[in-house]
Amino acid sequence: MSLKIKTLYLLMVTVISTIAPLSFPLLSFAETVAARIYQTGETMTFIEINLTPPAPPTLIVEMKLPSGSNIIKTMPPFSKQNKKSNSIKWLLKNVKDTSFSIQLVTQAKLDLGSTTVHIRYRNRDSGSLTEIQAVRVSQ
Amino acid sequence: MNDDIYPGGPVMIKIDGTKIRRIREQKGLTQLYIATAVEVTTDTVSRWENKRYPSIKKENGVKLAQALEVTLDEILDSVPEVQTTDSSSPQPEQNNSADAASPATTVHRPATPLFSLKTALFLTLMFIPLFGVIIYFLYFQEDTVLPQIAVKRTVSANFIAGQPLPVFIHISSSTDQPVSFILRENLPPGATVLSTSPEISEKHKKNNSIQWLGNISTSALFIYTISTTEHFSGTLLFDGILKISSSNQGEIMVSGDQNSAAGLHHWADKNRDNRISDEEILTIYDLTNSNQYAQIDMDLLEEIWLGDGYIWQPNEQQFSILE
Repeated sequence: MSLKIKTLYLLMVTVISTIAPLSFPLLSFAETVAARIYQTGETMTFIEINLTPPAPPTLIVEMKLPSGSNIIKTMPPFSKQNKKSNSIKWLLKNVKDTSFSIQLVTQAKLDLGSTTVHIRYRNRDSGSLTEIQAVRVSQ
Repeated sequence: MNDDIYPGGPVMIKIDGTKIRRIREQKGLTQLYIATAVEVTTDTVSRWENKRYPSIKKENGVKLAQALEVTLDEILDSVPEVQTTDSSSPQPEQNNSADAASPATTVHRPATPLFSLKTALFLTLMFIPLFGVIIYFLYFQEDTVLPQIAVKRTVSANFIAGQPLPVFIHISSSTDQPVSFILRENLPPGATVLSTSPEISEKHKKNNSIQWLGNISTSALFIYTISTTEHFSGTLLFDGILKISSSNQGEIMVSGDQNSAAGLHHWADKNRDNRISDEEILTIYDLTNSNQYAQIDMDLLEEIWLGDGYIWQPNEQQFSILE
């Protein structure tokens, strides 16, 4: 009897240990935050952010602009501007939407090749700081 | 309500020990848990249950009801019901049916056995492994069903004397079943509590401790903010325990950060570089689940984060933010 139970138990362990690693790539490498930057028209730039649960509730978005860029307005308004490094930052709190955009209006067309956008957040499982870079998309 | 009021003495109530024992056992609570919650000895709880102390202080009764998660009325001794011998009074249905069925049991059984010996042996052999599997899984469940609880304190290694210092305690359970708990934090000497979230159940002045009593499922966050005098110097030492009603872990020490030293750096400035970095501000928002808690000045934190740094001005008791 105990041999049967042990056999059953071993069978279960074997099945689980075979199936579980197969699902790991999907679980551990699935990025919870993804972002892209694109332009519409001459002066309008968008940073689109997509979140997959378990997504972080707080994000910091940092945009480094080419020198000489002149921002007329951003939506939502940026939280911090560093004129020395020509960068702006947003602190986004209580993020609940799974997809949203930050809109920038500049005086002249922004050179996306010289623009970088980084998104920083804390990994919900490990608590470590994670940084991703927005992908440039040509429209 | 059965209140016995003795002139000049405390308000006493009559409790039903049998009900108390039944509720406690139904909820899987130990006498030790109840004793800790009510702040009496386990002997006293035992005497209550055995009806050796049928009258207790109302104050203890309220605590007892709270620990048992029932209303006070539910543990009070009700007036005994008059036992009627009236034959017309209805009897429980079960008894009636049993009585009615009893004559039927005299029906003669067929002389031939229900199963042949071979069939009986076959069925027995079939059922033995099934019972084995059930017992086997029950044995495994004994380890897995009991919740595994982890409790961790997060407090900054540095703070400024006279300024609020938040302490975060995170409890996590391996199951989503509600678990009754008592969380007790002993406050460091020289510290006073400014606020707590959620509200504490009790504060002990004697040993300068605060206590939460309640239920958690999956996880819960407790925050309290303390402060010292402006002239405090040295290190605050933290310790606390968590008692769980249904766990094989018994009493759990609160793990995590255990001390915080007075200095010139804001508590959120973990690396003491006179700046609040992106990581540091994200950590605070994650710890508070992006909620605003009393005594945590998030506006000041953001202001420092937005600036290029800060300097604490002890004479003015304020921060100068560098632009």
